[in-house]
Amino acid sequence: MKQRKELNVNGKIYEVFVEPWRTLLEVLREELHLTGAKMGCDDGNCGACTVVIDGKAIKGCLMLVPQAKGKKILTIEGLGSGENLHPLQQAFIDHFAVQCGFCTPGMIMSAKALLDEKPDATEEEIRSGLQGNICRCTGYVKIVEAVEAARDKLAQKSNPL
Amino acid sequence: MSSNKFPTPTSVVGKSVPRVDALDKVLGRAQFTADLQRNFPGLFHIKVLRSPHAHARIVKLDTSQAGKLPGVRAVVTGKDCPEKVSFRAPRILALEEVIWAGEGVAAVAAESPEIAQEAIELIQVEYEKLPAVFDAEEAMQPNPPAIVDRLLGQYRGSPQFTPEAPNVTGHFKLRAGDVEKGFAEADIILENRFSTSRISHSQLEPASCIVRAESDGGIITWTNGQGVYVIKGLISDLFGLAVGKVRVINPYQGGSFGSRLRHYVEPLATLLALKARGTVQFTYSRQEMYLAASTRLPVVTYIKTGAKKDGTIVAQQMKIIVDNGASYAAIQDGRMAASGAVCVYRIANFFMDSYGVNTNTPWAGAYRGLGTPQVAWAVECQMDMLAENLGMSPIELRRKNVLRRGEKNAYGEIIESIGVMDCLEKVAQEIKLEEPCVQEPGPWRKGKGVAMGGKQNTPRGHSEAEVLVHEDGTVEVLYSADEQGMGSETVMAQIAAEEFRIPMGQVRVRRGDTAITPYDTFSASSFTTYNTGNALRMACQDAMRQILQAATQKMEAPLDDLALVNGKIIVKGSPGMALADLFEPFSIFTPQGGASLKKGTPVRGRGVFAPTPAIPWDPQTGLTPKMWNWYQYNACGVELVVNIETGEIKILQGVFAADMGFPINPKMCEGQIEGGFGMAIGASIMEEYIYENGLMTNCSYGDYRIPTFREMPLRRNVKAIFSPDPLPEGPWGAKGIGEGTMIAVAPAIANAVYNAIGIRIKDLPLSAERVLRRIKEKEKNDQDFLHN
Amino acid sequence: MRFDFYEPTTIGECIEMLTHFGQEASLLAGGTDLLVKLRLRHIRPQAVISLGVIDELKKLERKSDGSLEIGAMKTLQEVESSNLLANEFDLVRQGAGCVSSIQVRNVATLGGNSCNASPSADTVPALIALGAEVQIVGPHGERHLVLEDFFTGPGETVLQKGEILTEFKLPAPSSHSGGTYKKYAIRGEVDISIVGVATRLTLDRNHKLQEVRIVLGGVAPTPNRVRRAEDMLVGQDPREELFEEAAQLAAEESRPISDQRATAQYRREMVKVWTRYTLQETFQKARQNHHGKG
Ligand SMILES: Cc1cc2nc3c(=O)[nH]c(=O)nc-3n(C[C@H](O)[C@H](O)[C@H](O)COP(=O)(O)OP(=O)(O)OC[C@H]3O[C@@H](n4cnc5c(N)ncnc54)[C@H](O)[C@@H]3O)c2cc1C
Ligand code: FES
Ligand code: FES
Repeated sequence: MKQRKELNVNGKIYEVFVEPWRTLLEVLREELHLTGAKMGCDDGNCGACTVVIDGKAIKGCLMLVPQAKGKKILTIEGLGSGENLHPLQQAFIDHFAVQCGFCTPGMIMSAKALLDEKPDATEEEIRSGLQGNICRCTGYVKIVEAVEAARDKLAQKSNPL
Repeated sequence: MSSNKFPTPTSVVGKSVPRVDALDKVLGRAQFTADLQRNFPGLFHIKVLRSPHAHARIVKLDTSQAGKLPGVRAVVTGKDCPEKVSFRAPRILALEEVIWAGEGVAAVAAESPEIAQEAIELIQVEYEKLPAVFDAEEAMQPNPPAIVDRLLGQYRGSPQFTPEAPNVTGHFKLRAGDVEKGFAEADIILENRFSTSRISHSQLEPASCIVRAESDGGIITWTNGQGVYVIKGLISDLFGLAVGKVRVINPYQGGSFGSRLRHYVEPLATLLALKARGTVQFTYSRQEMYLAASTRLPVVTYIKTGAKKDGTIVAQQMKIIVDNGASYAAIQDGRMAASGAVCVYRIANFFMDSYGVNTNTPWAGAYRGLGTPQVAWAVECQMDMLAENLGMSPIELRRKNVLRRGEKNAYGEIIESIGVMDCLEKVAQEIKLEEPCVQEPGPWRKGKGVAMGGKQNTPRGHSEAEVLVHEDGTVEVLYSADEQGMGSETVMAQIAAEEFRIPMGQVRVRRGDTAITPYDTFSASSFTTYNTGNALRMACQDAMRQILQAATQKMEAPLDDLALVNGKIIVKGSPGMALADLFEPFSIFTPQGGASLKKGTPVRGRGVFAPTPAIPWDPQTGLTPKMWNWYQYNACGVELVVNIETGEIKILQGVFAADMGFPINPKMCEGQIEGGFGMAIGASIMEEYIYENGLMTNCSYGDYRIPTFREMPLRRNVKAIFSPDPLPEGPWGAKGIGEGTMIAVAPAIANAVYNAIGIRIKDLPLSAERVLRRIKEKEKNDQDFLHN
Repeated sequence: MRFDFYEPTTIGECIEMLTHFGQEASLLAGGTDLLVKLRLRHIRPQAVISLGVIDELKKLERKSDGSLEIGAMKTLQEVESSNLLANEFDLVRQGAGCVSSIQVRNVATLGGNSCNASPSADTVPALIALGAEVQIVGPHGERHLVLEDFFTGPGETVLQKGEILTEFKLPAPSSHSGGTYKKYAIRGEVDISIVGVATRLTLDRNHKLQEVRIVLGGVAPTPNRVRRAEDMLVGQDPREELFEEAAQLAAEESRPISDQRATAQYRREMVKVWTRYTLQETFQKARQNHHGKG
């Protein structure tokens, strides 16, 4: 039945009291009230629930909450703030990569993990790296554009010359 | 672009200003319906038991075990549902008979989703299977294998209902000119049959609502359904609730594409909230989104075209069969889909019968284009086939027959705005249609194709909007149309910013709450910019008038000399004054009523816009000087490769031109084009319902294949072109864009496939399997031909 | 879904728990299959036993004899990006790399992909083609068998009550060989395979085909080798027409069904197409390795 669990989310330690069969996505949304990650399918196909765990993108609906024990979880809420947006967030705004916005948090989290791993990802690599995220509104064109823009921005930052 | 007829926007209208909702959306702060559940401790969760059979009598239905399960708050079946039915929603739960596989039979509200699911599994139900009909052409016969909905005639009470053809829900006739004579004059006559599959909107956010039963018998609903006032009306009507006690609030919607125009979660949730006397939430699973949400109508089109040697089309006869599925709420009488065949070409002798038909398949409703893409699929493939037969270029043939501004279409309407041919010419040029493709070794064959199309706008209304102008110059915009992602909030903010000449940051949009925002229908038929946008301009002008009126006294200047620009009242030949100075502080020494503006009280401007109504058509001929309002147009060109060993199609390049009238926000228009293009790629080459005995078997994002990044061409190979023919009464000449963007894509793809491999495929989708089957058939025929 | 959750830290402890709960327990590796099954209520265990903190299951080692051992709990992403698996064992990387999306591969395990026993599991044909053996540990000790004998039907394996799959052993491959895995699905990685074909060819000194493996996924109740096609090729001089013939035989040997993803006819046709392509590609690789190593 319900068990006490510690979760490290966005650099904060949360204590929750939950049943072990709850998914990480459910617990983030229902217990921690971090509703940025969305539920689009609950079976691992849409990517709207993507969060980053220990640097790797995962689908929150495919992970039981005990599996996240002891790991560092990053959600869209921990990525940037209104005053201090992550370059990906800024690029999604600037390039109109957002329409309904339901896929957006998951898309950005996947892109974040991708660019962390491959800072010089090509368009092809971006497209295949983000294939686990579905968007029904944009036709993906502006999403690719935004991720490429963020990639270039991040490269400038880490390499100021 | 903008001619003298139109006021030239000088501030933000016409500019690609960032979306007003984007910041919240990238921060994960934008609120969608399911995100609000956290605000309701003690919420009950709904699950539904659904029929596995396409048509069956419910012999036994025992919910007693479910009701006894601890944690279950309420259980309902068809017997608990209101008797009333509305055409705005499918019946809440089945009664006596289930008529499609996926229809709800019973529902439970419980303390947790797990308990609700367990309760569902305790419900005992026995079915007696009945014959079912899945094919619309079979269903429309006088003695069909099954009558889908026995109640149809009763509640439709429509003259179109004919007992002789009990599954036919409507029949639209068009009889323009004299087709017999036309065909007699034709040098060439071409006859074909085309069809499209059932597809799903598959918008990313599942249908979801929260309903709270209030102590006074009223309810509050938070829902991602479209049209807060429409839902308010529906719910109060179905449940006999006082209109004033029903409040509907609409958070952001995660896409719709027409899916949310029929209300499939709110009525059941209301039923259970009232029964549970509490707050319930009902969110469809992804599987339910396929089995029991709206779908796109499959359409069969028979088309016979007669043309002169020079390409002039002299007669066209069509029979269109629109499959509504098991729709209690048959929206399609055939008229809407048929319009796809009328709005582009000049065809004086036109004979058409368009039927809406029910079958025992998942019900259908509005879907980006309302049937026109399905019919344009036939028309635009037919045009290419005709061009080939005549030895003409497809562009030349279309140029010859396209309607021009000021001409009459087959309904008898005079067309005011039509940029379609321009769209096509631009697309053909961009894709270099005349240059043959260079083939490479290997199994991939290259081809190019184009097509064009148009979509009518339904003159549905009216729309209202309000603005609150505050003393510091900030403006709140209040309206009730939807924000499904297309950017209506941004467009409305742009309009207000433009009218008041203020920066975007000073406008705040408040949308979709029947207790706060004024009346609107919903966002459909691509009309939000036009309908609600026009209303909002009026509201801005109304507020402006009030402000300037107040200024005339203070500034002792006539009204005509005054203008409000960016928070300042400007008077001809004087330094002007700040808007804030018009608002008087309250004081016990000054009159506190009266006409002057008061600090803390915004000026409230109100606008109401209703489009010019249609003029009833003659039911025998379908002729009328005004069937619809205006038309958006578009054209698409694609370059693709077909794999002759696997049947796969890869789109290499897509060029799309749109006549949306004046683009209020060009980047957002581009976004509609790219999104529509992507969606249409899915519909063209992958998407279809696969059934076993009428039960859909590919009901997940894993098996129902909507496009991913991989199916889109590289980003430099997707091009959006604007070719606007501004509409006089649209805001700054704007029309709309959302629906048109799918229409021309499927036929452009089929035309390109023909160009690549010489095989004409007339049924959608052009799935790898279907393409390969046709390639093999052709190989076999060619072989047989050689051997005989 | 309702169950208790257990997290043993050793294989021994895990087996004890498994034995204790019997049919009422489910093992959890990455959970990407298990969660879906739990949610659809295909299974309703009382206990879910996680393999997540058993370090013994996470090894990846090259042995002195050139063979390789991969723990069942290695994630597909770890497999896909491991340098130890480059070159001779690259087939496994190819298989792992085309499972779904990166988010899935970051948690899904190699052991889970086999134990789930889906006919279209993408790493299985590759592992079989490399001659993988599995180590199974249970209450009565350890046993070993070749992976192709591990499957007994869709979703079914030889695992007995209380047993777990602990690791895969890949024998040292001969240097004159090459291998290719091709997944065919309409949307690529994110779709479940319509067919998967792994082929492996070893050339003898005279460039004749010494050893041939053709393994098909998605076209029979279990992933399996097509022996007639293999036998036909052994001892032959590799030629284009021969590959075509072998592809035809492979198609005839396959036993596909029609489902929501493809019809049986289409699957069979795709076996032919993709067997031919993989054989061609594999032959090129084998030849290069042959040259490369003199
Ligand atoms: C969206 C999505 C897409 C997918 N696409 C693909 C795809 O393209 N190709 C593909 O091959 N697969 C695909 N899968 C299936 C799945 O991801 C893989 O099979 C994965 O490798 C399973 O590993 P896991 O660690 O997640 O297994 P789990 O789900 O943890 O376990 C799977 C099964 O094996 C049992 N099990 C696991 N480990 C052991 C062990 N060591 N000993 C005994 N029993 C064990 C479990 O009890 C369970 O029954 C997909 C799944 C999802 C959700
Ligand atoms: S909700 Fe997790 S992948 Fe769709
Ligand atoms: S923006 Fe709507 S799904 Fe991506």
